[in-house]
Amino acid sequence: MGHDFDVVIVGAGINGLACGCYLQKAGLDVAVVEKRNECGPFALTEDIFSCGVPVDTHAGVCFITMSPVWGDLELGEYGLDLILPEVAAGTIWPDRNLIYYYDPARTWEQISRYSKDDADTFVEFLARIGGDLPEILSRAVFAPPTEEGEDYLFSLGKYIGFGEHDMRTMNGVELLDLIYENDYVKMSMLGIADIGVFGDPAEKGEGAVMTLLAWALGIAVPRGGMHNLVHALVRCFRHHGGTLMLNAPVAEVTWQGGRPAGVVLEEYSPYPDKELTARQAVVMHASPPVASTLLGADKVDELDHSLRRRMRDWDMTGHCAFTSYYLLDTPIEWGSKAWNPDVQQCAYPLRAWDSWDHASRFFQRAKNEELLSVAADVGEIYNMGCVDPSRVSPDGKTAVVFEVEYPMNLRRHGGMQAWDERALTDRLHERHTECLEELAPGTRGRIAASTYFTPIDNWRRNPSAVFGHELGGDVSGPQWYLGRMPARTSIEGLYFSQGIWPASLTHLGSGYVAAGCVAEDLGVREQPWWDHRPMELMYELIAGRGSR
Amino acid sequence: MNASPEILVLGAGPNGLTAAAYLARAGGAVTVLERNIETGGGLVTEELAGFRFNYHATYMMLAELMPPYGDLGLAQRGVEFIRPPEQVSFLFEDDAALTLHTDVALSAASVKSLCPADAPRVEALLQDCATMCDAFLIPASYVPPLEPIDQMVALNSAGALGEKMAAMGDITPGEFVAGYDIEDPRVEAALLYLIAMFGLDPDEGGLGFLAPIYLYRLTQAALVRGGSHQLSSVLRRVVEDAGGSVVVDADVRELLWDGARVTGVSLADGTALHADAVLSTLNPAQNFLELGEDLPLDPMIRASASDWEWERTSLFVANLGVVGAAPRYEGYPAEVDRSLNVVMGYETPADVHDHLGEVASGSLTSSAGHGTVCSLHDPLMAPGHVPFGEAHTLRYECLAPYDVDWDSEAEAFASRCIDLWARYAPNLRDANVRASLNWTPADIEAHLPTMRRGSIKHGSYAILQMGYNRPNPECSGYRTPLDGLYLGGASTHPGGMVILGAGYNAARVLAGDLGLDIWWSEPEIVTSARAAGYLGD
Repeated sequence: MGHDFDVVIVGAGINGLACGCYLQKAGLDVAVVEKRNECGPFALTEDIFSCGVPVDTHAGVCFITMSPVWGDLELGEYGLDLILPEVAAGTIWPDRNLIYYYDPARTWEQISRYSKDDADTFVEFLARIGGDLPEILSRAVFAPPTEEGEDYLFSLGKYIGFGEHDMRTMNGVELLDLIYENDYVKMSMLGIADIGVFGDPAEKGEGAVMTLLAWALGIAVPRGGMHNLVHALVRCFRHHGGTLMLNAPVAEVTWQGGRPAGVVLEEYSPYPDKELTARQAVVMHASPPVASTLLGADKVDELDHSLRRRMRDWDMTGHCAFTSYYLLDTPIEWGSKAWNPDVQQCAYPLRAWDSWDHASRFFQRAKNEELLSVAADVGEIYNMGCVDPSRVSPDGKTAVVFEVEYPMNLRRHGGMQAWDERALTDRLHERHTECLEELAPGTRGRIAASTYFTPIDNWRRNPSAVFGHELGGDVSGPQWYLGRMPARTSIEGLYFSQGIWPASLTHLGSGYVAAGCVAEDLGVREQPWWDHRPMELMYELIAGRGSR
Repeated sequence: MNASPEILVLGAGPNGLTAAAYLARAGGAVTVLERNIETGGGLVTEELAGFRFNYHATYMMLAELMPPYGDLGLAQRGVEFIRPPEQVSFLFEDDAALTLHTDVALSAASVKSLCPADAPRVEALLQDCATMCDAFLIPASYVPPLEPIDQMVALNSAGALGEKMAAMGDITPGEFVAGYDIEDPRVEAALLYLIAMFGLDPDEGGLGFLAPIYLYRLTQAALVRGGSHQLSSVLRRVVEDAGGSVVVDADVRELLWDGARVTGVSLADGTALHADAVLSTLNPAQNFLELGEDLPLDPMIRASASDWEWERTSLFVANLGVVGAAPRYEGYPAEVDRSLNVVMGYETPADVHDHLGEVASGSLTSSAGHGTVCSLHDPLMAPGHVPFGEAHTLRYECLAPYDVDWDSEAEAFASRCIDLWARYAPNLRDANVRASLNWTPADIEAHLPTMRRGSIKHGSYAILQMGYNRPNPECSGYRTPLDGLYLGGASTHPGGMVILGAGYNAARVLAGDLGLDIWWSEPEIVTSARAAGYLGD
């Protein structure tokens, strides 16, 4: 094993790996070093109930369909098989649901059960924005943030009838209030926005933009589990000759002549030679607080003023997942299936509040840590077994996952250590169970086993996920878009692929953006294969279904 | 050599991967077929909420002494063995403890604190064990087994040490220990537990020769840094880097044959894979009764597979990830806190015999077992980065019966086991358990079906199932009466326990038969044993 590389990437999260794949495929010699004994700490599929039912323990839905990475890296060739479910998404209440299909006409029918005007608004919006999506995503998501890019983001209001000024001064709640009349429609749309991937719906400006962008998310279900995304990336990386080192915790970044020269592994790593040389670049696929430690205080001081401040003040306490896992003896049956039985085929239903009044005040109450009063008001449900038979055991058992975002700080409960206290976490888990029971009466009696992971569990699993934060830091306010970490830093040869724009998700946008910056600087960006556009896979899959 | 011969290896456990690595480097076109979605077999390390658990294999008896370690460059690829100097502590009533160290003199000093008269006896025993292991027992693991009569002749013609070792084929492991006239029952109980803890029956006739390996090497045991799985994932990497492939989720259903030649396998999905040779690391029942149901085999081979004895005891492991201090054994010497294994519950040889007997007869007893804190020796095993208290990965292991309704019993049994541990280490009572998983004999069988009835060595170590008889005289040389079918798992010599001998030996035989490039050379320990005459001509 050689110890000299062109590029060393610290951290084998999915976006670090994706970045590695691009650079290795472009002809560089790349090493990815990972502290854990597996890659993709937040894209794992595990048999957590020890009964042959694979459970995605963190990321559940795969946004790769909107991503150019699929085509550039030919992930399908490396064993990633995607299922495009009949039902695209859905919101459920105890007695009703709102289902979205890939066929706009069918979606229109569903929304029209609540309001014909709202159905028109949504479907017309989709029709207007549809053809422009590849361009929008190319400029707004799969590109480093720029001031022009920011103007462009706020110009997206045109697809729904708002000017740039309106967009800059509205939040997501206000936007929805202005364009829709029915509260269920509003709650459903806000729920989709609250996945929180492009910003905070309650923040002025970003909330309006991200509410629009969230509707463009296409989901797919990786057959067999999310870890197949990781496996495909690992196969791709190794196929092109990349070096992947697991159990390789980095102690520090080494420096020479003011630029990073490589990394030194911790004394307790099992590799006999602890030093790796990076001739051209070091990419930190680590969150800013972890990166600060590895870079060293002196070097952080050398960064330009704005980056230094970001690294010191980086907030990772606003978006932490508490996830409940249920092993069910038989598939879940939603109470609302009398309303539209297709809810049974929804792999990824959302639970989204009971009243618009409640929803619109939710974000402030969550920030105020009214933990138990807002618990499970809104959450994501993964029910992959309904579209992927490989998630069901031979005797019919399947898992349902209920994931809710909570603030990390818990100042009202004695501080974040309260996440280690069973008295509190058992209550939250019980609240999640109650919520499922409300949505699907009889579920409690079908639970063969259940367990949960708290934000601290997630932090213990993923050292980079400080405070359990799943996106490399909050994506809102001062840390939104231009305020995120830059992929390219003021220190030559030093790059970030985490904490940047876009957030590290399963569309692999942050790995894509970071790889682009490194490749441009090293003169290897021009590759015939590096030319795919966002949404290509989505259109292909939809065409394959014959529904469009 | 013509085009690369196609070789299918059944099973991606430690032996399968080892054989595949040697054969792929020798020029074979190797495909390893694994039923699970993960490779490594018993070398499983899983992580829950940041705590890494070795569910199964944990203590590596031979570690760096295994020839593949050097041959395959495992160290350079990140296999490091951690060998704590305090190896195993036995806790007794009244705050008495015995700690065996890697250093025999220190072990003797600890014995002296319990019973001065036993100190030189234990020292002599451990030194004799070391001598016999190095001279013969370890080297003999890395060559095919001799016929018993030839082995006896060889040992008896090779001087005093040879004669001594030959004589051990007539006694039980317990009699070997008894031969040292240990006075203190606690010390004798400790030595017997070293023999018994991985299913070697101290009363099994003719197995006296195995006692030194367990007694010596379980006082030289090592952990794999980063978790046991690191060993198998590096082996897998060696296979792949040499051009071999590893296919997971491949459910082999049948061996295909033509005349007296095995020509490949078929999978559950109907795929037929053809090959010049099939090397199976599965157990005799799988090889000869299930996958090879229709093979034209001597009925004696089938009969021996039907009569194959699984181990009478299996293992139960309770894995715990805790936030809080590591176990502190109040009242005991400080070295106990650092010890790799801490054994609790045995005061006399009768306790060991009784416990084994009860477990073998199917009763669920939590009277004794041992605890290990993997994270004390390897920071990679626990999430040390979260600043809310120390984090430790704990493992409690004990002998356990297979015939128990584990689904309903496991949780209560685990809690009784942890109660026992907490009697010696009271701080465990307040431990904040953040992750836990029980690994029962039923789990062993479900996840590692080759270990039928939770039999961790693919069949008991009994004199009629060892060496030349493992799995039967016709097949113990890794060849079978059928051309193209080879064996190389723990049900062949030298057995299981992650010493990689079966895969290593099978690869050598198969490479020779296929005319592949035998690129590796005989290990020095084997050459010396051969020169001393212990291994025959």
